Amino acid sequence: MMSAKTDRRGETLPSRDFVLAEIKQMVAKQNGVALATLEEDTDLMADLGYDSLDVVELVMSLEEHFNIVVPEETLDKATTIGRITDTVIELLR
Amino acid sequence: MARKTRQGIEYQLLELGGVRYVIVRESIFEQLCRRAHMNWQELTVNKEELKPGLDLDGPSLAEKLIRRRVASGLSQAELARRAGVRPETLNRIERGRTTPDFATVRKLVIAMNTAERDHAAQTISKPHGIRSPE
Repeated sequence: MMSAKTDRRGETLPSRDFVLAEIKQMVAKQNGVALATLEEDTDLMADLGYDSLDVVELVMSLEEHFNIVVPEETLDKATTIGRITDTVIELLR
Repeated sequence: MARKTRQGIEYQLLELGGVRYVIVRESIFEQLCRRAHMNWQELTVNKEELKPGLDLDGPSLAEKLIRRRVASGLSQAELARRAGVRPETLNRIERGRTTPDFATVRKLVIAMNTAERDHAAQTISKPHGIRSPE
């Protein structure tokens, strides 16, 4: 019986806090904002002025970084850092 | 409350979040743009395409996409072909007249990245030798 912390291949999944921290770091690097100002409810578009090109570029970096494929339909819904984190976690499972 | 300039142009002042905005009729704005030699067509965003949170990214997104495309060495037609986007659609996007959805932007970015990689690979595999003066 696999524990909740492993994926189908039995590899250990990164914790949510770890993924959240990684995403915050990527956003801070891409957008040039201070890491400390980024919260889970920070909205990339409404708060950080991201346009669709910025979002797509971040998502493509996430895909490469976490080795995942983010389905397009999830992009419209997930533009806060917290929701992006949940999406990544979901895709890592 | 409507105000009037000395020239008789009606306008309204509005303050939002500490920033003052002047509201004039579209036809007046168009005239002002023309006098400033700015292309009004390139400034307009298709109203039907406006979505909350996306409404301000029309022109700047267009500019960024044009810059990226030029940097990747692709013509508008070539990028449209490679990305599988209709040329008219890309043209409208680049004129800031339509706000593309994520799926379209992603196709464009992938096509531009691929073109850049191909270009870089070509430059490495086929270096142009330094010609000695003849």
